[in-house]
Parts: sequence; structure tokens; C-alpha cells
Amino acid sequence: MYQQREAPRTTDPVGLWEPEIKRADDTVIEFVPSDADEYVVLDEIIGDQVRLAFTAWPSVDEEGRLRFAESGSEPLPVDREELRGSLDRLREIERQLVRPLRIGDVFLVRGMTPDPEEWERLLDITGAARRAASRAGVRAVAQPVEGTAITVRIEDAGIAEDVPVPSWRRPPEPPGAAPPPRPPAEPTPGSVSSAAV
Amino acid sequence: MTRPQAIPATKLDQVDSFADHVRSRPDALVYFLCNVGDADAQVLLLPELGTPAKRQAVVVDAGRSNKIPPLLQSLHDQQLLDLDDATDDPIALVVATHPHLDHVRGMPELFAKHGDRIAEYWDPGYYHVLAEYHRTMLEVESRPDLVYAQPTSGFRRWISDVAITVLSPSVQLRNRYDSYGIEINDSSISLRIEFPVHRYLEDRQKIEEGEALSIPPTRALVLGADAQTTSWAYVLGDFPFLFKSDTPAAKAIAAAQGNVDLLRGDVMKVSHHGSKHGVNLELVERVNPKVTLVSSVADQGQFNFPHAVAQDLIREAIFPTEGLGGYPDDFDPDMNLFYTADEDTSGATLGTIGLVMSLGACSMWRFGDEPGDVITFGDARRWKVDLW
Repeated sequence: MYQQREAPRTTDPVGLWEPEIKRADDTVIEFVPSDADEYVVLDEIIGDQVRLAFTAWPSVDEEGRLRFAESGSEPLPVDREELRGSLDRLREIERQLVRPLRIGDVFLVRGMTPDPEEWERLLDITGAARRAASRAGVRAVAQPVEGTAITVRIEDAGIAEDVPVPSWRRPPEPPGAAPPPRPPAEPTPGSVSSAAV
Repeated sequence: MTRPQAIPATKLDQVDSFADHVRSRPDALVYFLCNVGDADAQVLLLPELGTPAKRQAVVVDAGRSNKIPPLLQSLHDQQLLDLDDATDDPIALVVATHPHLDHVRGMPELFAKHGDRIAEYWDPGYYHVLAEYHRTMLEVESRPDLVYAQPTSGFRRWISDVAITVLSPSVQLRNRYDSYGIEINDSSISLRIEFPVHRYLEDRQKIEEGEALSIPPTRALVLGADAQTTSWAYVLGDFPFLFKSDTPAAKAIAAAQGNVDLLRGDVMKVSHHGSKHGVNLELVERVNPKVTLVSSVADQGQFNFPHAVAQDLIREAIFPTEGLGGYPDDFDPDMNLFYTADEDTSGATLGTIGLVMSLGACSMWRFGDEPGDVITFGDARRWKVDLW
């Protein structure tokens, strides 16, 4: 098979992942993870049962990839209402948003045990984790951007400027007087094929 | 929730060699529904093709570690699959139907052990926050030659003499992933596998004489992943078949499809481990399977799979009673409804299901493995009566 995309650079982990963690009022919680913390995912909800998946807290490499232990995730069955109660209590302690359980919720848990009521500390990192997963999907399959060839400077009005156009995309010069230049294109938010969540 | 019904031990015997049997049927597609508990792990060994004749494999989900790689290695050791072949991609395709732990837990391991022999990888494009999703995408990124795709309903791919049709997810669901609008199970890639799909040449003289072109018969499997009601609703719309209504419109639609229901399947792997949300009556009636398989635990699962209401629904679709039910307690094996969690009447685990399928015959084999065990071909017991 022909090559589908450019090979990635080899990058090594540079330390533990430190996601941005926010309170309900949007202020940032200053927190430094330790390698004893667990990365806990709400993987499935069926009826009154929840499947959590937990693994050692990940590292991050120079290009932002999360690096998880090769031992993989372990499933942990828990009762839905008991988990909900524990989460509500622990989120209130951290002044994080108290909200219903959703598949795809992610937590940093310190003092992990099979019983959520015994967890020492919990931080809801769902937003950061979803952005990381989204980037992981796109990064794996999309062509990397070449150096500074496409440097988009976004001004307050959201207008892209100074975007070099590759010569093969430039239309031929028209004969006679040049038409008035078109306004620069506005940048678009990400789609399902980009890193937007 | 009800247990799978105990199967009389006398219905199976251990006189034949599974590997020898597969070797004797080069035209057969071999399907393994592995015993991995409330999870999915499937391998299809495609019919032999080419000169010299070779088989390729397709893997659909790897819901548990240490199940798929040893199975592929056993196929290699028995010279049924050549994993040393670096040129012909012995693992033609790997499909992660959706990124739930019980479907991708063993995926990083599969790539780590056999990634250089995998030609193509499909997932539904649903980003999930699991460690296994990150690790799998790292494996994909590290293999620039690997073809990666996010197929949606209607996509067709021909590998060897097998046609693979993607039934779900509908592109209408795919375009709504970017929020929490789509439940992750409904992102599942469900597949219809049809074989043998040979090219054929028209006989001009016979056509000029008015003889109708005869299309060779085929067999098909419908692999339901974890698709649920929303997803199946789109499938039933995307793959219509209205022949029975006998209206001109229905006849026209049916004729355009060769008068074959595009959901027809001789074998159906029931969606979502027998969840009450994974199947509906009309779907099973449309598939009209001769063999119906469920991947689940017996009665200790966290989610109570298989759900009793789903079992009854499947029975009603296969053996209609006008909704009255009342099936005998030992009837499931007689209607070819089997579970990876099956036990025989002596209490022995039957485990992984293997089907050796050709146009004219389908034999079933059970390997006796528990979810954590490696599949051993020498332990295979053959169902005494072929399923067709």
C-alpha cells in the first residue's frame, strides 16, 4: 500500500499531563497531578449500572500526545446513584459544576479504591480530556502542517491575514485590468474532521 | 435476564480436527465469535484466493486482551493464515466498531503484535476519552502506510471474494458526533459480510436468445456491533425492502436490489450482547437469520445481558407465535440460537463459536474456552448436525 500520510516525529514523554481544571465559576484550580493519581472514565451507563474504566495517570509528550501505561484500563462496576452521590459531594468540595452523569465524563481521582465514597479527591477534567481525545483522533490521520507555511494570525474580528497561498492554488493572472481584490476569508470553526469538540 | 439454555452434551462430539476441516474447505469463510464475556471480539478468515492460494483475515473488535492475537497465531501455526507474509497483508482489515472498553480493550495489543500485517483500519470517528482510544490512535499515527477510514452506511468494500457493506452508522448520525447528541453505542459500525461474490461473464448468445441472467447465490453475515434502536431505525430506512407489499413502488425498489433484501443474513451476531435496546422485532425479521449468535456472559454480568425481553423477541422473529411465546426451555439450540456463554448439560463451558461456512454447508465448532482463556483448536467440539 502506498504511504497514506507523513510519518510522525518520535517524541518522548516530558512529564505528567497537567490539564486545565476549572471551577463552576470558570476560575482555574491550581493542581499538580502525581503518578499515584488515576485517570477514570465513565465508559458506559445502562439502567442503574455504570462501568468506569481506570488507568494510571498519563504522561504527555512534546507534541501534546497523552501517553498511557501499556497495562491498559481496568473496568470497575459501580451503582449509578451511589456514584452520582459521591461525585456531587466531591465536585461541591472543589466548587466544580454539579451535573448529571454522562458517558465520556473523565475524572482525576486521588486515593482510588473500588468505592467512590472513599476517594480522597476528585477533579472533573472532562473538557480537557475530550479536547485531548479529539486532537488524538485528528493528529493520527491528518497530514501534519509544514513548519510556518500556514501561519494564520487571527485578529479581534476573527479575520485571517497573511496566509501564504501555495502557487498551485493561485489562479492565473487575468488579462487586462485586475479585478478588485476579494476580502480575506474568515476562518471557520472546526468540523468533525478537525479538532473542535 | 435469563441464562442461555443448557445444551445437551450429546449434540457435540470431538472426533474431527478443526484445523483439518478448515483446510479441507478452501471455499469456506470461517467466522469466530470469541468468548470474551460482555464484550465483542470477532475474526473472519476469508476463503482462499490467488496463486498460491492464501487466506486473509478480518478482525472486528478486540474487546479483551490476549484473545485475538493468540487466535491469529494459532491460525498461522496451522498454516491457515500466513502472518509472515509482508507483501499480501494477511490481516486485510481491522474494524473497531466503536470505542467502548468492551470493544477496544485489546486493540493496542493487536496493533503492537501484528500491526505491520494490518492493511486497513476502520473506526466510526467517535472520539472517546479512554486510554485505549489514545493508545490505538498512537498506533495508527505510527503506521503511515495503514489505510484509515471512517465509513458510514452504504459504503461497500470488496476484499478477496467477500463484499463488506457498512450498514451503520448512518451518515446522518455521523455528522452529529461533535456533541453529546449521539449515544456512543449508536456510533457503532455494523456490517453485512457477503460471500462468495465472484465476477461473472455474460454469455452473449444466451442473452440474445432471451435467457435470463442467473446471479449466483451467496451467503451473508450481519454483525450488529452495539448499534441500538436509533441506529437501526436509520438502517431500516437506508436499506429498504418493500417487496412483500406488492405495490408497484415496492416492486420497483425490490427489483432495483435484485429482489434480494439487503439486510438478509444467514448468520446474525446480535447487537449489544442481547441488550433490550440492541435488537427489535422488525430488524430480526428482515435479517431472517438461520443462525443467531449472542456474545455475552451467562448470568453474572453487570448489565444483566442477555436481557430476557431481547431473547423472547429474537425467538418470536425466528419462530413466530403471534406474540404468545411459550417456548420450551430447551428450544434455543433447536432454532440455532447460541451464546458464547453456553454450557452443556454437564456444566462444561462451550465458549467461542466457530462457523465454517460455504454455500452448501455450515458446521459449528465450540472451543470450550472461558473469557480469559486462549482458544485451543485441539479442544474444539463439533456440533453434530450442520446448520445448513
